[in-house]
Amino acid sequence: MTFPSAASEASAAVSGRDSKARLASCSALAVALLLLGAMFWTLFEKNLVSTMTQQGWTRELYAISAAVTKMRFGIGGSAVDRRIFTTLVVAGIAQNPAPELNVKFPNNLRDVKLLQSALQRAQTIDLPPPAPADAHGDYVDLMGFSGEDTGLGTFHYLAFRLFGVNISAVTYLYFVIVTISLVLYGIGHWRSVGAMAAVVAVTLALYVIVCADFVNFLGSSKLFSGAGIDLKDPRFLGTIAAIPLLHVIVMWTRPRYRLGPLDYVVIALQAAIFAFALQIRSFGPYWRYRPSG
Amino acid sequence: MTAGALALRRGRSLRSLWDWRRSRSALIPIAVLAVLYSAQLLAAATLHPLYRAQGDVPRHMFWQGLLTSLQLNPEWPVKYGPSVNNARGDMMPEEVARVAIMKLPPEERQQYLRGDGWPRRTALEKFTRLAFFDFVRSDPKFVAHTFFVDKPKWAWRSEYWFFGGLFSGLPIWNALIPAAAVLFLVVLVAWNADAQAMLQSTAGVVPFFIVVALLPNWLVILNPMVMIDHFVWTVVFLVLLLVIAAAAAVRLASGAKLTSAPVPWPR
Repeated sequence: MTFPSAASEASAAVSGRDSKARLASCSALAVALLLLGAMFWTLFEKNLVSTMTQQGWTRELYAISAAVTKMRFGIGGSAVDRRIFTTLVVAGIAQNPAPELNVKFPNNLRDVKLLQSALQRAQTIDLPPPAPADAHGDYVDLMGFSGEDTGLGTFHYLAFRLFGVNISAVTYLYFVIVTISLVLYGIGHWRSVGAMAAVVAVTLALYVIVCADFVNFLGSSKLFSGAGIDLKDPRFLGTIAAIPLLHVIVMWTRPRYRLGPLDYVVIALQAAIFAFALQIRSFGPYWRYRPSG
Repeated sequence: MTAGALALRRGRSLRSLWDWRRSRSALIPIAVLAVLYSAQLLAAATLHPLYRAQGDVPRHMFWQGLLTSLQLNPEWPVKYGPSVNNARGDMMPEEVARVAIMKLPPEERQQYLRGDGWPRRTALEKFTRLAFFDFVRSDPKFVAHTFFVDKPKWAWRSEYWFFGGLFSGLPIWNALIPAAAVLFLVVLVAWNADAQAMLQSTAGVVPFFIVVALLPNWLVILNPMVMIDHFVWTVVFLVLLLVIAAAAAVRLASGAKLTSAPVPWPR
Protein backbone atom coordinates (compact mmCIF):
# COMPACT_ATOMS: atom_id res chain seq x y z
CA MET A 1 0.00 0.00 0.00
CA THR A 2 1.48 3.33 -0.97
CA PHE A 3 0.61 6.77 0.27
CA PRO A 4 1.03 9.92 -1.79
CA SER A 5 3.71 12.23 -0.51
CA ALA A 6 2.86 15.67 0.85
CA ALA A 7 4.53 17.22 -2.20
CA SER A 8 2.50 15.17 -4.65
CA GLU A 9 -0.68 15.97 -2.70
CA ALA A 10 0.11 19.66 -2.90
CA SER A 11 0.93 19.27 -6.58
CA ALA A 12 -2.36 17.46 -7.18
CA ALA A 13 -4.21 20.22 -5.31
CA VAL A 14 -2.49 22.87 -7.38
CA SER A 15 -3.16 21.01 -10.62
CA GLY A 16 -6.80 20.57 -9.58
CA ARG A 17 -7.07 24.30 -8.95
CA ASP A 18 -5.36 24.93 -12.28
CA SER A 19 -7.84 22.81 -14.20
CA LYS A 20 -10.73 24.53 -12.38
CA ALA A 21 -9.22 27.90 -13.27
CA ARG A 22 -8.97 26.79 -16.92
CA LEU A 23 -12.58 25.72 -16.90
CA ALA A 24 -13.59 29.05 -15.34
CA SER A 25 -11.59 30.99 -17.94
CA CYS A 26 -13.09 28.99 -20.81
CA SER A 27 -16.58 29.60 -19.39
CA ALA A 28 -15.84 33.33 -19.19
CA LEU A 29 -14.66 33.37 -22.82
CA ALA A 30 -17.81 31.50 -23.85
CA VAL A 31 -20.02 34.00 -21.98
CA ALA A 32 -18.18 36.92 -23.62
CA LEU A 33 -18.80 35.38 -27.04
CA LEU A 34 -22.46 34.81 -26.16
CA LEU A 35 -22.77 38.47 -25.19
CA LEU A 36 -21.35 39.48 -28.58
CA GLY A 37 -23.91 37.13 -30.15
CA ALA A 38 -26.70 38.78 -28.14
CA MET A 39 -25.42 42.18 -29.26
CA PHE A 40 -25.54 41.05 -32.89
CA TRP A 41 -29.07 39.70 -32.45
CA THR A 42 -30.25 42.94 -30.85
CA LEU A 43 -29.01 44.88 -33.88
CA PHE A 44 -31.17 42.63 -36.08
CA GLU A 45 -34.10 43.21 -33.70
CA LYS A 46 -33.66 46.94 -34.17
CA ASN A 47 -33.24 46.53 -37.95
CA LEU A 48 -29.87 48.29 -37.86
CA VAL A 49 -27.73 45.83 -39.80
CA SER A 50 -28.56 46.43 -43.44
CA THR A 51 -29.96 49.95 -43.09
CA MET A 52 -28.60 53.42 -42.33
CA THR A 53 -29.50 55.99 -39.69
CA GLN A 54 -30.18 59.70 -39.99
CA GLN A 55 -27.22 60.60 -37.79
CA GLY A 56 -24.65 58.57 -39.69
CA TRP A 57 -25.72 58.29 -43.32
CA THR A 58 -23.67 61.22 -44.66
CA ARG A 59 -20.46 59.88 -43.12
CA GLU A 60 -21.25 56.46 -44.55
CA LEU A 61 -21.91 58.01 -47.95
CA TYR A 62 -18.37 59.40 -47.99
CA ALA A 63 -16.97 56.12 -46.68
CA ILE A 64 -18.79 53.97 -49.24
CA SER A 65 -17.71 56.32 -52.04
CA ALA A 66 -14.08 56.15 -50.87
CA ALA A 67 -14.21 52.35 -50.61
CA VAL A 68 -15.73 51.95 -54.10
CA THR A 69 -13.19 54.46 -55.48
CA LYS A 70 -10.41 52.29 -54.10
CA MET A 71 -12.00 49.07 -55.34
CA ARG A 72 -12.66 50.33 -58.86
CA PHE A 73 -9.66 52.54 -59.56
CA GLY A 74 -7.14 51.52 -56.89
CA ILE A 75 -7.05 55.11 -55.61
CA GLY A 76 -6.72 55.11 -51.81
CA GLY A 77 -5.53 57.65 -49.30
CA SER A 78 -9.10 58.64 -48.36
CA ALA A 79 -9.86 60.01 -51.82
CA VAL A 80 -13.51 60.10 -52.87
CA ASP A 81 -14.48 59.99 -56.55
CA ARG A 82 -17.09 62.73 -56.96
CA ARG A 83 -18.82 60.80 -59.77
CA ILE A 84 -19.27 57.71 -57.58
CA PHE A 85 -20.47 59.94 -54.75
CA THR A 86 -23.00 61.55 -57.10
CA THR A 87 -24.10 58.13 -58.43
CA LEU A 88 -24.94 57.02 -54.89
CA VAL A 89 -26.84 60.26 -54.24
CA VAL A 90 -28.81 60.00 -57.48
CA ALA A 91 -29.56 56.35 -56.70
CA GLY A 92 -31.27 57.36 -53.47
CA ILE A 93 -28.74 57.76 -50.65
CA ALA A 94 -29.72 61.39 -50.31
CA GLN A 95 -31.58 63.97 -48.26
CA ASN A 96 -33.96 64.53 -51.17
CA PRO A 97 -34.29 61.31 -53.19
CA ALA A 98 -35.47 61.71 -56.78
CA PRO A 99 -39.30 61.56 -57.11
CA GLU A 100 -39.11 58.56 -59.49
CA LEU A 101 -37.66 56.48 -56.66
CA ASN A 102 -41.01 56.78 -54.84
CA VAL A 103 -39.43 57.03 -51.44
CA LYS A 104 -38.94 59.97 -49.11
CA PHE A 105 -36.24 60.80 -46.60
CA PRO A 106 -35.63 59.18 -44.12
CA ASN A 107 -37.46 56.08 -45.33
CA ASN A 108 -34.88 55.70 -48.11
CA LEU A 109 -32.29 54.91 -45.42
CA ARG A 110 -34.36 51.90 -44.32
CA ASP A 111 -35.08 50.67 -47.84
CA VAL A 112 -32.69 47.73 -48.11
CA LYS A 113 -33.39 47.12 -51.81
CA LEU A 114 -32.82 50.77 -52.70
CA LEU A 115 -29.54 50.88 -50.75
CA GLN A 116 -28.26 47.70 -52.37
CA SER A 117 -29.25 48.91 -55.81
CA ALA A 118 -27.39 52.20 -55.17
CA LEU A 119 -24.25 50.28 -54.19
CA GLN A 120 -24.62 48.12 -57.29
CA ARG A 121 -24.88 51.20 -59.52
CA ALA A 122 -21.81 52.78 -57.96
CA GLN A 123 -19.88 49.59 -58.69
CA THR A 124 -21.02 49.11 -62.25
CA ILE A 125 -21.63 52.56 -63.71
CA ASP A 126 -19.41 53.12 -66.74
CA LEU A 127 -16.71 55.60 -65.71
CA PRO A 128 -13.18 56.24 -66.90
CA PRO A 129 -10.51 56.53 -64.20
CA PRO A 130 -10.47 59.94 -62.45
CA ALA A 131 -8.46 62.63 -64.18
CA PRO A 132 -4.95 63.19 -62.80
CA ALA A 133 -3.94 66.53 -61.29
CA ASP A 134 -4.47 69.45 -63.66
CA ALA A 135 -2.04 72.30 -64.35
CA HIS A 136 -2.99 73.94 -61.02
CA GLY A 137 -2.34 70.69 -59.16
CA ASP A 138 -6.03 70.16 -58.52
CA TYR A 139 -7.95 66.90 -58.88
CA VAL A 140 -11.28 67.75 -60.48
CA ASP A 141 -12.81 64.27 -60.10
CA LEU A 142 -11.68 63.69 -56.53
CA MET A 143 -12.51 65.17 -53.15
CA GLY A 144 -11.64 64.53 -49.50
CA PHE A 145 -13.76 63.68 -46.48
CA SER A 146 -14.28 67.37 -45.57
CA GLY A 147 -12.97 67.00 -42.05
CA GLU A 148 -14.90 63.85 -41.29
CA ASP A 149 -13.83 60.37 -40.25
CA THR A 150 -11.37 59.28 -42.96
CA GLY A 151 -10.73 55.90 -41.34
CA LEU A 152 -14.33 54.99 -42.00
CA GLY A 153 -13.41 54.66 -45.68
CA THR A 154 -10.73 52.08 -44.82
CA PHE A 155 -13.22 50.24 -42.62
CA HIS A 156 -15.76 50.07 -45.45
CA TYR A 157 -13.12 48.97 -47.93
CA LEU A 158 -12.06 46.07 -45.70
CA ALA A 159 -15.69 45.18 -45.01
CA PHE A 160 -16.57 45.16 -48.72
CA ARG A 161 -13.51 43.07 -49.55
CA LEU A 162 -14.40 40.50 -46.90
CA PHE A 163 -18.19 40.34 -47.14
CA GLY A 164 -19.06 41.85 -50.51
CA VAL A 165 -20.39 45.31 -51.32
CA ASN A 166 -23.42 45.57 -49.05
CA ILE A 167 -24.40 47.69 -46.05
CA SER A 168 -24.38 44.71 -43.64
CA ALA A 169 -20.68 44.08 -44.34
CA VAL A 170 -19.67 46.90 -41.97
CA THR A 171 -21.52 45.33 -39.05
CA TYR A 172 -20.00 41.93 -39.82
CA LEU A 173 -16.50 43.37 -39.90
CA TYR A 174 -17.05 45.04 -36.51
CA PHE A 175 -17.86 41.68 -34.97
CA VAL A 176 -14.94 39.99 -36.71
CA ILE A 177 -12.54 42.59 -35.27
CA VAL A 178 -14.02 42.44 -31.76
CA THR A 179 -13.93 38.65 -31.82
CA ILE A 180 -10.29 38.66 -32.94
CA SER A 181 -9.54 41.13 -30.15
CA LEU A 182 -11.32 38.87 -27.66
CA VAL A 183 -9.38 35.81 -28.81
CA LEU A 184 -6.09 37.76 -28.53
CA TYR A 185 -7.13 38.79 -25.03
CA GLY A 186 -7.84 35.14 -24.22
CA ILE A 187 -4.39 34.12 -25.51
CA GLY A 188 -2.78 36.71 -23.24
CA HIS A 189 -4.86 36.29 -20.11
CA TRP A 190 -6.60 32.92 -20.13
CA ARG A 191 -4.70 31.78 -17.03
CA SER A 192 -6.22 34.54 -14.90
CA VAL A 193 -9.86 34.06 -13.95
CA GLY A 194 -10.07 37.70 -12.85
CA ALA A 195 -8.78 38.91 -16.20
CA MET A 196 -11.31 36.77 -18.04
CA ALA A 197 -14.07 38.09 -15.76
CA ALA A 198 -13.01 41.64 -16.65
CA VAL A 199 -13.41 40.99 -20.38
CA VAL A 200 -16.92 39.65 -19.73
CA ALA A 201 -17.65 43.02 -18.09
CA VAL A 202 -16.46 44.83 -21.25
CA THR A 203 -18.53 42.70 -23.64
CA LEU A 204 -21.48 43.17 -21.30
CA ALA A 205 -20.95 46.94 -21.53
CA LEU A 206 -20.89 46.76 -25.35
CA TYR A 207 -24.12 44.79 -25.26
CA VAL A 208 -25.73 47.34 -22.92
CA ILE A 209 -24.74 50.19 -25.26
CA VAL A 210 -26.55 48.45 -28.14
CA CYS A 211 -29.62 48.27 -25.90
CA ALA A 212 -29.55 52.06 -25.39
CA ASP A 213 -32.45 54.03 -26.72
CA PHE A 214 -30.36 56.27 -28.98
CA VAL A 215 -28.88 53.25 -30.77
CA ASN A 216 -31.88 53.08 -33.05
CA PHE A 217 -33.37 54.65 -36.14
CA LEU A 218 -35.59 56.75 -33.90
CA GLY A 219 -35.49 56.84 -30.11
CA SER A 220 -38.61 55.29 -28.63
CA SER A 221 -38.62 56.54 -25.05
CA LYS A 222 -39.83 59.78 -23.47
CA LEU A 223 -36.23 60.78 -22.84
CA PHE A 224 -34.95 60.37 -26.38
CA SER A 225 -37.20 60.48 -29.39
CA GLY A 226 -34.87 61.97 -32.01
CA ALA A 227 -32.80 60.39 -34.76
CA GLY A 228 -30.35 57.86 -33.38
CA ILE A 229 -27.18 56.10 -34.50
CA ASP A 230 -26.20 52.51 -35.21
CA LEU A 231 -23.10 50.38 -34.91
CA LYS A 232 -21.84 51.53 -38.33
CA ASP A 233 -21.47 55.09 -37.05
CA PRO A 234 -17.80 55.95 -36.42
CA ARG A 235 -18.77 57.05 -32.92
CA PHE A 236 -19.74 53.46 -32.21
CA LEU A 237 -17.02 51.77 -34.26
CA GLY A 238 -14.47 53.34 -31.92
CA THR A 239 -15.49 50.74 -29.33
CA ILE A 240 -13.28 48.19 -31.13
CA ALA A 241 -10.57 49.76 -28.93
CA ALA A 242 -12.24 48.67 -25.67
CA ILE A 243 -10.81 45.14 -25.41
CA PRO A 244 -7.28 46.15 -26.55
CA LEU A 245 -7.28 48.85 -23.85
CA LEU A 246 -8.50 46.38 -21.24
CA HIS A 247 -5.71 44.04 -22.34
CA VAL A 248 -3.12 46.65 -21.40
CA ILE A 249 -4.90 47.62 -18.17
CA VAL A 250 -5.09 44.01 -17.03
CA MET A 251 -1.46 43.39 -17.91
CA TRP A 252 -0.62 46.33 -15.66
CA THR A 253 -2.75 44.95 -12.80
CA ARG A 254 -1.12 41.50 -12.96
CA PRO A 255 2.31 42.35 -11.52
CA ARG A 256 3.33 38.73 -10.94
CA TYR A 257 2.63 37.73 -14.52
CA ARG A 258 5.77 36.87 -16.50
CA LEU A 259 5.66 37.86 -20.13
CA GLY A 260 6.80 35.74 -23.06
CA PRO A 261 7.46 36.63 -26.72
CA LEU A 262 3.86 35.65 -27.58
CA ASP A 263 2.59 38.34 -25.19
CA TYR A 264 4.48 40.99 -27.15
CA VAL A 265 3.01 39.74 -30.43
CA VAL A 266 -0.47 39.82 -28.91
CA ILE A 267 0.07 43.33 -27.49
CA ALA A 268 1.28 44.57 -30.87
CA LEU A 269 -1.83 43.18 -32.58
CA GLN A 270 -4.11 44.72 -29.95
CA ALA A 271 -2.28 48.03 -30.39
CA ALA A 272 -2.91 47.76 -34.14
CA ILE A 273 -6.65 47.40 -33.48
CA PHE A 274 -6.46 50.41 -31.15
CA ALA A 275 -4.63 52.39 -33.85
CA PHE A 276 -7.34 51.49 -36.34
CA ALA A 277 -9.98 52.76 -33.89
CA LEU A 278 -8.09 56.05 -33.62
CA GLN A 279 -7.95 56.32 -37.40
CA ILE A 280 -11.68 55.64 -37.67
CA ARG A 281 -12.31 58.54 -35.32
CA SER A 282 -9.95 60.67 -37.41
CA PHE A 283 -7.31 61.14 -34.82
CA GLY A 284 -5.35 61.81 -37.94
CA PRO A 285 -1.91 62.91 -38.98
CA TYR A 286 -1.89 66.35 -37.39
CA TRP A 287 1.67 67.34 -38.02
CA ARG A 288 1.48 67.11 -41.77
CA TYR A 289 -1.66 69.09 -42.34
CA ARG A 290 -1.40 72.00 -40.00
CA PRO A 291 -3.61 74.84 -41.17
CA SER A 292 -1.55 77.21 -43.23
CA GLY A 293 -1.93 80.82 -44.21
CA MET B 1 6.50 57.36 -15.98
CA THR B 2 3.95 56.08 -13.45
CA ALA B 3 5.71 52.73 -13.39
CA GLY B 4 9.00 54.51 -12.80
CA ALA B 5 7.59 56.63 -9.99
CA LEU B 6 6.08 53.58 -8.31
CA ALA B 7 9.33 51.63 -8.61
CA LEU B 8 11.30 54.48 -7.05
CA ARG B 9 8.73 54.91 -4.28
CA ARG B 10 9.07 51.25 -3.39
CA GLY B 11 12.82 51.59 -3.29
CA ARG B 12 13.30 49.42 -6.39
CA SER B 13 15.78 50.00 -9.12
CA LEU B 14 14.56 51.49 -12.39
CA ARG B 15 16.48 48.70 -14.07
CA SER B 16 13.57 46.36 -13.39
CA LEU B 17 11.48 48.46 -15.78
CA TRP B 18 13.64 47.18 -18.63
CA ASP B 19 13.09 43.53 -17.68
CA TRP B 20 11.09 42.44 -20.73
CA ARG B 21 9.52 39.55 -18.78
CA ARG B 22 7.82 41.83 -16.24
CA SER B 23 4.19 42.76 -16.92
CA ARG B 24 5.02 46.34 -15.87
CA SER B 25 8.02 46.52 -18.13
CA ALA B 26 8.53 49.87 -19.86
CA LEU B 27 8.83 47.89 -23.10
CA ILE B 28 5.05 47.32 -23.12
CA PRO B 29 4.06 51.02 -23.43
CA ILE B 30 6.97 51.49 -25.83
CA ALA B 31 5.65 48.64 -28.01
CA VAL B 32 2.11 50.07 -27.92
CA LEU B 33 3.29 53.60 -28.74
CA ALA B 34 5.52 52.30 -31.55
CA VAL B 35 2.53 50.62 -33.20
CA LEU B 36 0.33 53.72 -32.75
CA TYR B 37 3.01 56.02 -34.14
CA SER B 38 3.66 53.70 -37.10
CA ALA B 39 -0.06 53.70 -37.90
CA GLN B 40 -0.08 57.50 -37.83
CA LEU B 41 2.95 57.63 -40.13
CA LEU B 42 1.32 55.16 -42.50
CA ALA B 43 -1.89 57.22 -42.59
CA ALA B 44 0.09 60.39 -43.29
CA ALA B 45 2.28 58.76 -45.94
CA THR B 46 -0.62 57.21 -47.84
CA LEU B 47 -2.92 60.23 -47.73
CA HIS B 48 -3.90 61.35 -51.22
CA PRO B 49 -2.25 64.63 -52.36
CA LEU B 50 -5.70 66.10 -53.09
CA TYR B 51 -5.97 66.96 -49.38
CA ARG B 52 -3.11 69.42 -49.70
CA ALA B 53 -4.31 70.69 -53.08
CA GLN B 54 -7.85 71.36 -51.86
CA GLY B 55 -6.97 72.63 -48.37
CA ASP B 56 -8.84 69.72 -46.79
CA VAL B 57 -7.85 68.05 -43.52
CA PRO B 58 -7.97 64.30 -42.85
CA ARG B 59 -9.31 64.64 -39.31
CA HIS B 60 -11.93 66.32 -37.18
CA MET B 61 -11.27 69.97 -36.67
CA PHE B 62 -10.51 70.89 -33.10
CA TRP B 63 -11.05 74.64 -33.01
CA GLN B 64 -14.22 74.44 -35.07
CA GLY B 65 -15.61 72.01 -32.49
CA LEU B 66 -14.54 74.21 -29.59
CA LEU B 67 -16.23 77.25 -31.13
CA THR B 68 -19.38 75.27 -31.99
CA SER B 69 -19.66 74.18 -28.36
CA LEU B 70 -20.17 77.77 -27.18
CA GLN B 71 -23.72 77.39 -28.50
CA LEU B 72 -24.42 75.11 -25.53
CA ASN B 73 -24.63 78.26 -23.45
CA PRO B 74 -28.36 79.17 -23.36
CA GLU B 75 -27.47 82.87 -23.72
CA TRP B 76 -25.76 82.29 -27.09
CA PRO B 77 -28.74 83.01 -29.41
CA VAL B 78 -29.51 86.37 -27.78
CA LYS B 79 -25.99 87.49 -27.03
CA TYR B 80 -24.04 86.35 -30.09
CA GLY B 81 -26.57 84.91 -32.56
CA PRO B 82 -26.94 88.15 -34.58
CA SER B 83 -23.14 88.56 -34.86
CA VAL B 84 -23.00 85.27 -36.83
CA ASN B 85 -26.13 86.03 -38.90
CA ASN B 86 -28.02 83.62 -36.62
CA ALA B 87 -26.23 80.64 -38.17
CA ARG B 88 -26.69 77.61 -35.95
CA GLY B 89 -25.08 74.23 -35.34
CA ASP B 90 -22.21 73.25 -37.62
CA MET B 91 -22.95 76.22 -39.88
CA MET B 92 -22.00 78.72 -37.19
CA PRO B 93 -18.20 78.25 -37.43
CA GLU B 94 -18.43 78.29 -41.23
CA GLU B 95 -20.22 81.63 -40.99
CA VAL B 96 -17.67 82.97 -38.50
CA ALA B 97 -14.83 82.03 -40.88
CA ARG B 98 -16.67 83.42 -43.91
CA VAL B 99 -17.31 86.75 -42.17
CA ALA B 100 -13.66 86.97 -41.10
CA ILE B 101 -12.44 86.21 -44.61
CA MET B 102 -14.76 88.82 -46.13
CA LYS B 103 -13.17 91.44 -43.85
CA LEU B 104 -9.79 90.79 -45.50
CA PRO B 105 -8.57 92.78 -48.55
CA PRO B 106 -9.96 91.12 -51.74
CA GLU B 107 -6.52 89.96 -52.92
CA GLU B 108 -6.02 87.97 -49.68
CA ARG B 109 -9.39 86.25 -49.67
CA GLN B 110 -8.92 83.73 -52.47
CA GLN B 111 -6.27 81.67 -50.67
CA TYR B 112 -8.84 80.83 -47.99
CA LEU B 113 -11.79 80.00 -50.25
CA ARG B 114 -12.79 76.91 -52.16
CA GLY B 115 -14.16 76.97 -55.68
CA ASP B 116 -17.72 77.13 -54.33
CA GLY B 117 -16.94 80.26 -52.28
CA TRP B 118 -16.98 78.55 -48.88
CA PRO B 119 -13.90 78.51 -46.61
CA ARG B 120 -11.31 75.78 -47.09
CA ARG B 121 -11.01 73.41 -44.11
CA THR B 122 -7.58 74.78 -43.25
CA ALA B 123 -8.99 78.32 -43.29
CA LEU B 124 -11.92 77.20 -41.16
CA GLU B 125 -9.55 75.85 -38.54
CA LYS B 126 -7.47 79.04 -38.57
CA PHE B 127 -10.34 81.52 -38.31
CA THR B 128 -12.35 79.54 -35.76
CA ARG B 129 -9.24 79.38 -33.55
CA LEU B 130 -8.88 83.14 -33.78
CA ALA B 131 -12.59 83.62 -33.10
CA PHE B 132 -12.52 81.31 -30.08
CA PHE B 133 -9.66 83.25 -28.49
CA ASP B 134 -11.51 86.48 -29.26
CA PHE B 135 -14.41 85.15 -27.20
CA VAL B 136 -12.05 84.09 -24.40
CA ARG B 137 -10.54 87.60 -24.29
CA SER B 138 -13.72 89.61 -24.69
CA ASP B 139 -16.13 87.52 -22.61
CA PRO B 140 -14.23 85.09 -20.37
CA LYS B 141 -17.22 84.76 -18.04
CA PHE B 142 -19.40 83.49 -20.88
CA VAL B 143 -16.78 80.95 -21.98
CA ALA B 144 -16.13 79.78 -18.42
CA HIS B 145 -19.87 79.41 -17.80
CA THR B 146 -20.18 77.30 -20.97
CA PHE B 147 -17.34 74.98 -20.02
CA PHE B 148 -17.87 74.67 -16.28
CA VAL B 149 -21.61 75.02 -15.85
CA ASP B 150 -23.46 74.33 -19.11
CA LYS B 151 -21.31 71.49 -20.40
CA PRO B 152 -21.37 69.51 -17.13
CA LYS B 153 -25.16 69.95 -17.20
CA TRP B 154 -25.25 68.52 -20.73
CA ALA B 155 -22.99 65.64 -19.66
CA TRP B 156 -25.29 64.85 -16.76
CA ARG B 157 -28.36 65.06 -19.00
CA SER B 158 -26.72 62.66 -21.46
CA GLU B 159 -26.01 60.17 -18.66
CA TYR B 160 -29.64 60.43 -17.63
CA TRP B 161 -30.83 59.84 -21.20
CA PHE B 162 -28.53 56.86 -21.59
CA PHE B 163 -29.39 55.06 -18.38
CA GLY B 164 -33.05 56.13 -18.46
CA GLY B 165 -33.56 54.86 -22.00
CA LEU B 166 -31.88 51.46 -21.62
CA PHE B 167 -33.86 48.48 -23.00
CA SER B 168 -36.68 50.79 -24.06
CA GLY B 169 -38.88 49.12 -26.68
CA LEU B 170 -36.95 45.83 -26.48
CA PRO B 171 -38.26 42.40 -25.41
CA ILE B 172 -37.74 41.38 -21.80
CA TRP B 173 -34.95 38.93 -22.63
CA ASN B 174 -32.71 41.85 -23.54
CA ALA B 175 -32.91 43.10 -19.97
CA LEU B 176 -32.44 39.62 -18.48
CA ILE B 177 -29.15 39.02 -20.29
CA PRO B 178 -27.13 41.54 -18.23
CA ALA B 179 -28.63 40.13 -15.02
CA ALA B 180 -27.60 36.61 -16.05
CA ALA B 181 -24.11 37.79 -17.02
CA VAL B 182 -23.62 39.59 -13.70
CA LEU B 183 -24.82 36.46 -11.83
CA PHE B 184 -22.28 34.39 -13.76
CA LEU B 185 -19.51 36.86 -12.85
CA VAL B 186 -20.49 36.84 -9.17
CA VAL B 187 -20.29 33.03 -9.04
CA LEU B 188 -16.97 33.08 -10.92
CA VAL B 189 -15.41 35.72 -8.67
CA ALA B 190 -16.88 34.52 -5.37
CA TRP B 191 -15.26 31.14 -6.04
CA ASN B 192 -11.85 32.64 -6.75
CA ALA B 193 -10.42 35.24 -4.35
CA ASP B 194 -7.51 35.99 -6.68
CA ALA B 195 -10.04 36.98 -9.32
CA GLN B 196 -11.63 39.36 -6.83
CA ALA B 197 -8.28 41.01 -6.10
CA MET B 198 -7.62 41.28 -9.82
CA LEU B 199 -10.99 42.90 -10.47
CA GLN B 200 -10.44 45.36 -7.62
CA SER B 201 -7.16 46.49 -9.20
CA THR B 202 -8.82 46.80 -12.60
CA ALA B 203 -11.79 48.71 -11.17
CA GLY B 204 -9.29 51.12 -9.60
CA VAL B 205 -7.92 52.07 -13.02
CA VAL B 206 -11.19 52.25 -14.96
CA PRO B 207 -12.29 55.71 -13.58
CA PHE B 208 -9.26 57.19 -15.34
CA PHE B 209 -10.60 55.88 -18.66
CA ILE B 210 -14.09 57.15 -17.85
CA VAL B 211 -12.66 60.66 -17.47
CA VAL B 212 -10.30 60.42 -20.46
CA ALA B 213 -13.15 59.21 -22.69
CA LEU B 214 -15.27 62.17 -21.61
CA LEU B 215 -12.56 64.79 -22.12
CA PRO B 216 -12.93 65.22 -25.93
CA ASN B 217 -16.70 65.39 -25.51
CA TRP B 218 -16.39 68.02 -22.80
CA LEU B 219 -14.12 70.11 -25.01
CA VAL B 220 -16.25 69.87 -28.13
CA ILE B 221 -19.80 68.61 -27.83
CA LEU B 222 -21.89 66.63 -25.36
CA ASN B 223 -24.76 64.37 -26.28
CA PRO B 224 -25.35 60.64 -25.72
CA MET B 225 -24.38 59.71 -29.28
CA VAL B 226 -20.84 61.06 -29.01
CA MET B 227 -20.28 59.73 -25.49
CA ILE B 228 -20.29 56.01 -26.31
CA ASP B 229 -16.70 55.36 -25.20
CA HIS B 230 -17.45 57.10 -21.92
CA PHE B 231 -20.58 54.98 -21.44
CA VAL B 232 -18.68 51.76 -22.15
CA TRP B 233 -16.19 52.44 -19.36
CA THR B 234 -18.89 53.69 -17.00
CA VAL B 235 -20.85 50.46 -17.45
CA VAL B 236 -17.67 48.39 -17.05
CA PHE B 237 -16.95 50.22 -13.80
CA LEU B 238 -20.47 49.74 -12.46
CA VAL B 239 -20.49 46.04 -13.39
CA LEU B 240 -17.11 45.51 -11.73
CA LEU B 241 -18.26 47.29 -8.55
CA LEU B 242 -21.45 45.25 -8.44
CA VAL B 243 -19.61 41.97 -8.99
CA ILE B 244 -16.90 42.77 -6.43
CA ALA B 245 -19.47 43.76 -3.78
CA ALA B 246 -21.77 40.78 -4.45
CA ALA B 247 -18.89 38.29 -4.57
CA ALA B 248 -17.50 39.64 -1.29
CA ALA B 249 -20.94 39.33 0.28
CA VAL B 250 -21.27 35.73 -0.96
CA ARG B 251 -17.87 34.81 0.41
CA LEU B 252 -18.62 36.43 3.75
CA ALA B 253 -21.98 34.71 3.95
CA SER B 254 -20.46 31.33 3.13
CA GLY B 255 -17.77 31.85 5.75
CA ALA B 256 -14.94 31.55 3.26
CA LYS B 257 -11.72 33.38 3.80
CA LEU B 258 -11.43 36.58 1.84
CA THR B 259 -7.82 35.85 1.10
CA SER B 260 -7.05 32.69 -0.78
CA ALA B 261 -4.31 30.15 -0.24
CA PRO B 262 -1.26 31.13 -2.24
CA VAL B 263 -1.44 29.65 -5.68
CA PRO B 264 1.71 29.53 -7.80
CA TRP B 265 1.40 31.80 -10.77
CA PRO B 266 1.83 30.08 -14.08
CA ARG B 267 4.98 30.89 -16.07
